[in-house]
Amino acid sequence: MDRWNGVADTDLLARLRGGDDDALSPLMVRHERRLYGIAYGYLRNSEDALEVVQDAFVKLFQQSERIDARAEVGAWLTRVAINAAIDRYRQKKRRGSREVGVEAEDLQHVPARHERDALDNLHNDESRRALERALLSLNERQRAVVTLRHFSDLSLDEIASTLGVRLGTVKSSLNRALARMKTALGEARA
Amino acid sequence: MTLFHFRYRRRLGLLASSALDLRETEAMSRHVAECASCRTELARLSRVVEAFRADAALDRPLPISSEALRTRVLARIRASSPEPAAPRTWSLAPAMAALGVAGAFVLAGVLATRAPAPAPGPGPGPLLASADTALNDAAFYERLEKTHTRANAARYLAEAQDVLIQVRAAADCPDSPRDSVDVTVEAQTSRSLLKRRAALVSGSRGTLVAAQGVMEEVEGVLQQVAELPKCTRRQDVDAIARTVERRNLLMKIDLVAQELVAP
Repeated sequence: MDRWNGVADTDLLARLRGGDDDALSPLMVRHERRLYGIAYGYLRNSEDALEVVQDAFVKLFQQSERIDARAEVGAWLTRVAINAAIDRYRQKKRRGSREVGVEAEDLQHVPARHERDALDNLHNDESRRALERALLSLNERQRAVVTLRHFSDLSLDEIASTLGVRLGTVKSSLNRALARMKTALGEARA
Repeated sequence: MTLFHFRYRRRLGLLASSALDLRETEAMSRHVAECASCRTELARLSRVVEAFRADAALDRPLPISSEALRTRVLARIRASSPEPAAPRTWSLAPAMAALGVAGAFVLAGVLATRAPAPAPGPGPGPLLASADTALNDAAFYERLEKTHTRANAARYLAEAQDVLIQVRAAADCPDSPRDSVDVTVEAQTSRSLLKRRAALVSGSRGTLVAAQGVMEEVEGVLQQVAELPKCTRRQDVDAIARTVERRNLLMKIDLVAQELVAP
């Protein structure tokens, strides 16, 4: 892998487009962890997140010839990954799978005091589950916006470009998402 | 309370998310400093953001090693390549060998089921044994052929499902008006799948009756994707996605594909 040190993503993409399949590996090493973080942040399930990461790299390989040569590979992969995560989440939700985070009805039984504690200390499992339950109160777009903002640290412009929506939509989605999560976590009753 | 209170109030989530530019941040911070209710609300929203950031900061390594991920990705690429591209440098020999063995089995099955009856042997014993063996072989190869057809149909449906998912995640079309996406690959794959479907159905001899309904639905949607221009308006892609969703097509594909490969 050392021979790829210092080689820019765009150059690796150019090599991939030219049929040098070895260029895929360094791209995977550079982006796998970040993509996994985004996918996990959205799906809250390690197996599903891993599937999304795999899908993204398969798509990178298969579509390398049609990606704009000047394109940011990282941004392209992020767009593919978040859209794949949205699709996967939608499919599982439609099937009524319990693997989609925590079931919505469980949210109603979390005491407000406990939720306040959850925000104070996210380092225990219960607290993380409270956050996951709160995420269930969001629609798919809101969930994607907060994930990209707070798990991937993208700017609002980058989020708009990634999701293919207007900047105003991103702003309103982020505002509404936080307000919903605040309510879901019991902060409104504090 | 300033004239802009309600405008600022609506944007507190953006302030808590550090998502405003410097000028807006300063203006809102000045307002928040003077507005007690906005301060309280900002504190609440900030705790949600902190919760997110604390969670995002947790170390979550991939559940498998980079090497294992690479192996899985390469396997998936190989499995989904209908025709290996000549300039690609990875060795496709193992996959091709496997396909060759499978092809030989099926060809043998076809030949066995269509072969003329063997010439009579010199005595009754060998003749009876030979006819019995041929009958068993024919039944065996017929079963094998049906299994192969069903596996092909399941693979066709899985690939069609991938197209229906991927078309929705198509990238923006470069140098084109906003809100248009590049669906070249998905349209091309759909055309290729439609050809495969025709061959699959014509050679299935009733093996795929149970899957017929879903395959027809999939065919209808693939035809729509196949006809999309290179740069397609996102709303057209969304319309197809809605059709897929309304008909529960992805779930139906899963169910039928599982049924097809069930022992």
